[in-house]
Amino acid sequence: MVTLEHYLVLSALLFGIGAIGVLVRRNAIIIFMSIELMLNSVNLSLVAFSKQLNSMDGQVFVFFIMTVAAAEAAIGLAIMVSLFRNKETLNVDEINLMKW
Amino acid sequence: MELLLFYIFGVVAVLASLGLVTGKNPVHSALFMVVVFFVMAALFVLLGAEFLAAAQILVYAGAIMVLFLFVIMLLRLQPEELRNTSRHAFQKFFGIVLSLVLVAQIALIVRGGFFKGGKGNYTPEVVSGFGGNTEAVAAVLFTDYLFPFELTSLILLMAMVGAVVLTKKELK
Repeated sequence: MVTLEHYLVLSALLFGIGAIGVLVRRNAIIIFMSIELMLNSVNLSLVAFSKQLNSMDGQVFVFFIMTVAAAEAAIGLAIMVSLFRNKETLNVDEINLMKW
Repeated sequence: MELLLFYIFGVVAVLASLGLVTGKNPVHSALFMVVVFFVMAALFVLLGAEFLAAAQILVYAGAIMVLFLFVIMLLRLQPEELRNTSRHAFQKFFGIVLSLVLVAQIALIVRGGFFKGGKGNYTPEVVSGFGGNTEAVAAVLFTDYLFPFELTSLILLMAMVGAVVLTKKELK
């Protein structure tokens, strides 16, 4: 019997791995992929809750998160293309224009 | 059987996401990410969310990953050079420790079993009465969530316009 806790622990593990990726990696594209991984792990826990609570709302939320993730991927990758065009690097330590 | 499948998919998901995070080459990371997305779709099927599993494969493994691979291909990236090594090691250490603390906290909450919310109306019998998961999602999406659904079209339009404007060579 797979319980809600199984899915939540798996989701927490994936979220943690994504957080490690965001904090440790310096390549902006890999950071971006880690953010997608974190979004996805939250989707998993929402679907697990949706099943546990006999409700469809969780699945509708996941649908919206997917939409936002798609929009975010398009915008984020466009920002990266224009960043790379201007600075010739995607290392986040060197992208510090807005740092005071 | 369900438990066995869950563990297989769970182990594959964790290993593939570790590969994503540790991969030196962004293309390898992107391919590991496809594995994570497919496994996630399998877990959605296990949870009875067939519509989301299909959407996951179409949107994530189809659209988003192709976008990522295209951008990686367009930008000839050098491998991640290790400048500022001492500062970077410091960041690495704290990044890993803080993430582990986060996972431990979530695990503690999950172990505490605080999730005792009231049950909704969509029991498996009701869902199969609708004709399946897709119909049940649609029934909620097009009634209670109709306005947010319409707003998502605006988000997508904005993303489209934004991506075109941002990647344009020069604005006239």
